[in-house]
Amino acid sequence: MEKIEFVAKDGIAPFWKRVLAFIVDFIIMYIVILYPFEKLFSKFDVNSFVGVYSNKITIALMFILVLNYIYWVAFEWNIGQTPGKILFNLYVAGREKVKFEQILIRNLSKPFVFIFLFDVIYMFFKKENQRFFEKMSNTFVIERIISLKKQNSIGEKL
Amino acid sequence: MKKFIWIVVILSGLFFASTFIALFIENPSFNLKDFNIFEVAVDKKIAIIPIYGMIVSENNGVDLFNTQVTSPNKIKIFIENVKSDDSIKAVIFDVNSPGGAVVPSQEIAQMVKELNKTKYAVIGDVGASGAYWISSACDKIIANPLSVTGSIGVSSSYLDYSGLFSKFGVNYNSLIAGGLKDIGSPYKNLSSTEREIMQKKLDIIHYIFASNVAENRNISLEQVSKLATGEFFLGVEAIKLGLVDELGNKETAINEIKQKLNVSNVQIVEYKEQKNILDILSKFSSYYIGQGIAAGLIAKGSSVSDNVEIKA
Repeated sequence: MEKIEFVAKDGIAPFWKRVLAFIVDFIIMYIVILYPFEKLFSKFDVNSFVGVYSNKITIALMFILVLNYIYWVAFEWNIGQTPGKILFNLYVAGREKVKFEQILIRNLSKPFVFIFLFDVIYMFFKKENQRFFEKMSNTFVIERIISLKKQNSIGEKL
Repeated sequence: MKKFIWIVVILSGLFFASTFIALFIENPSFNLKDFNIFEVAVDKKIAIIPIYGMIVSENNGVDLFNTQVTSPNKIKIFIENVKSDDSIKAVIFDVNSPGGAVVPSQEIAQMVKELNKTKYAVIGDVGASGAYWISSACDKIIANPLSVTGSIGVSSSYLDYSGLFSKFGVNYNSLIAGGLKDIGSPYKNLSSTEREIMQKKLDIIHYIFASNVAENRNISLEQVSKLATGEFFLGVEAIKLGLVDELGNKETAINEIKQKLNVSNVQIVEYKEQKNILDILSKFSSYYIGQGIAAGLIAKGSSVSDNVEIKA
């Protein structure tokens, strides 16, 4: 009799998958977090940093940074994945069970573009495709490849 | 299933939080000074329309430093919006422009004149030449004592490279049909006949400019002609000459309008060019900078007459 098993094999997530997952997350964040602020930002004069809208824009940007951070932390803490990562079968993992502090630390760079850029550049110098803040938090992004394993009744692979 | 629930919960939570925060910040009563979160219903509004930077025909907005410009298209959109909103009782044109091209200046001035609402022009640092033409179409002009205004005149200057070329043995071959086709070409000397012709054109534009100002300001053409030497005047001088009505600023205009409307509270509606969040975030992107450089390098046309620009 045939026995069918699903076998999961974890490996370090390839860079290109991480990039695509990030793009998907960015699009979702734009719709969910940034789009409600469009009307406010449309009134903003890019050449002028004075006046009532500069205060409002500053406050709005601060909230956007916080909501951005919450997006990453909330998903990775509760399900170990963001929607983008789910699409590409990527998971946040650590050497042991991932703690909340680790999730907080690994996502510190996400709301800040220039810090995040440095964070990503650091990845190119690490074999494990680890960002700087992932290294600090001792976490990785892994890819779970699920394959089908067929065996006959005496355990021979088919 | 558990994952799906979490996704829905987190995304909905973030969306509602963003919406609520954006609405709360956008609320007109939201003011850092007094934290007055109770909105007072206001049915009378004053619109503020900017007249900033050079006055040009098309607002492509593309230059390396994203310098502001004013174009008839942009002002038309603002004015149409004002016309369609009955709650806007008055318009303040916030002027900070040295002028620009003749045609767009005249077009905007005409649009302003035809607007059937109380109109104030408030001149900031500069409201000269074409910008003054636009301001003159308003019911009242308020300027700062040190604002630069006036400059009722027309200029059309260009560099003549013919001497430089002849020094280096470079010849200019003019192949034209129609004797005056290359009038104003920077590669040849301007003949006395050509100079006379160009001067006539400038005089016509100058006359139209001065007549418009005389009509708008209810001053005799003779009086305006004496002032229309191209000289700029400070606010303190302009008020004595009848070119501005009052010395003050935007607050002065707002308070006067409130008195006129007999209200203590008005909502100020500032019109600005719409930018979305990606425009703001991409402002310093290399693409934007590259586009600005390329636009500066691309010739707008091959005709030599493109080198001659008439400015008010």
